[in-house]
Amino acid sequence: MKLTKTYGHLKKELDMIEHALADAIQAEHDILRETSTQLLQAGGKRIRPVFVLLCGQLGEYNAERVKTAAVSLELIHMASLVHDDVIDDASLRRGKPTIKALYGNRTAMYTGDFILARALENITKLENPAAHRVLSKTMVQVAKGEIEQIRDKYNWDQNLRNYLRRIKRKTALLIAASCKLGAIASGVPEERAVKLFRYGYYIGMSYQIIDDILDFTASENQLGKPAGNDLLQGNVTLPVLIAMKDPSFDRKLRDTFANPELVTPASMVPLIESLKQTGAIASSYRISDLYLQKALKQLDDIPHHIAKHTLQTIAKYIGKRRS
Amino acid sequence: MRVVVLQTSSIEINSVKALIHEKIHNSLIEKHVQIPYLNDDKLYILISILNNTPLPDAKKKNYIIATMLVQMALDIHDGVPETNECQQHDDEEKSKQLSVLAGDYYSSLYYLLLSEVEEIELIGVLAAAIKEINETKMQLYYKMNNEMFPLTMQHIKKLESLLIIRVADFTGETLIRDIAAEWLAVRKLAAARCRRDRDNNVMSSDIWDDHIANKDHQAIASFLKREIKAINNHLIQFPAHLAGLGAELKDTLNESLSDNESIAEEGK
Repeated sequence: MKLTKTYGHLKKELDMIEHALADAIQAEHDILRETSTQLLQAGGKRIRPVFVLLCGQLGEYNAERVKTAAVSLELIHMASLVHDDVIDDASLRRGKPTIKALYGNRTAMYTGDFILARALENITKLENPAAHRVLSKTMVQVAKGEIEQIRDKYNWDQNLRNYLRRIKRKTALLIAASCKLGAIASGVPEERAVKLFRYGYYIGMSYQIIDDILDFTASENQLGKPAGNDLLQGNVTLPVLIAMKDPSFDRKLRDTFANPELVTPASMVPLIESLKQTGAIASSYRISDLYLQKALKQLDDIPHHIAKHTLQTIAKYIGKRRS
Repeated sequence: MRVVVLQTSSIEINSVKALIHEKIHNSLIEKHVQIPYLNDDKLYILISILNNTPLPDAKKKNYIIATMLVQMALDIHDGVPETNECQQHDDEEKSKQLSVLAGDYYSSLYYLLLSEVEEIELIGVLAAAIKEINETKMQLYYKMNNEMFPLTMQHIKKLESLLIIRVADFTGETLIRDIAAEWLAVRKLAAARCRRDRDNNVMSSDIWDDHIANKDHQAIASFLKREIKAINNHLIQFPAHLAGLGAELKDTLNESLSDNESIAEEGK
């Protein structure tokens, strides 16, 4: 089953959000309009809007307010992708040339800033200060997380706490904020909104850990990039940290990256095999599962509702994700 | 050129600068990125605008800091190199990456600051200005070589002052607002011309330097003349309580200009 099938019943709402996204990024300048819509047309799972919608449905659902939150969260995510491609010097995203590759860094920077501005302009339609506090704090943390990621590259001596804080900032908080914003937009009581925030946080942690596992276990075809690419870029993820407890792998890793600029996708192949033999993949899945269990636990007190059921299904789907 | 020293404000430039630097402090960014300087002229005119409103000092400070955070975010993104060809070394690569992230970080800080003080409307006002600025940057970038000089100057003038103009509009201040764009443009253009004449082919990341590099003196002088005339027209309408500021604005302009361009003394 595809992830999108778990929230198939949201098609009407998601179509509305898709239209609102397209409207939000209509620029006056031809090329800016083209670059802004390019990423939108490339699609994506729209997982953040989905969480906003589902959590919004657990309160007094107001389609307009929930849509506002969903659109802004997706725009923030899109803007970060455009800038990430400049950071990573990436040529392809979702199998298509990046804005940076087609138009250069300058245009990509302007596009990202334009989309982010539209996200913030749009979210001010929500006058609830709590919504802005949640989102702005999240955005600061996300930016800090990305800066930390640069700092921690090729740092083999970092610990598990570093990694967990990084993925919290990089992935989990924006999903948590999506859940909470949906709840706030629909007037879900604070205590329950906090639980939904935590649900999103735990789901985000689990999702990112599995993403980091898949970097080693999925095929190049599935990933759209060579296996082990994160490690090749110097990103030390959970499977690597666990595998490094094996002295033999630790030595191999440090030897391989003695000169990072000389490491190629081909030289990663034996290293990945060695990592798999340490049992690090299974251990990483176990940690991901712990987060998933915690996510599901947050939903215990929420009364029966199709949105609750979908949040549970998404969590289970994420746990089973293998590609 | 003399750095503007603010004389008429209840808010002091250096204390605002210190607050901003404290907010944006990040050792990794500071190690690898040339942090854009906080433009004294922009701070001066922004503080002057806000001082001409009845807002409490705490509010004024928040408006100034938020606006300057946005300005720095935009400025630092302008420093991201167009291509990656020159990034042979790890340091250059890190500088590029952290310039992108620093801009995003500063943007998030402006949003956080205004969210904490529940200035939701101003968040939208500044966001709309950022949108407009990036539209203008695109126009400038894709017409760089075949656009008429006066139009190019109008675009750059807009880029320099739009955030400040929007904040002035938001607060309802109209008097200083009406000369802010021209005053900043004259100050920046005169300084850029001075650098060009002194250093010949000056290498700079300043947008004014880039756009006047190959322009003749006449074209620049004509633009300045028109802007000075507009400033003069507004300054003579300044009410008595702004007389001191008016004189200060004139002085600072005259310092930037040559004798035959100087701004008119009152009564002439």
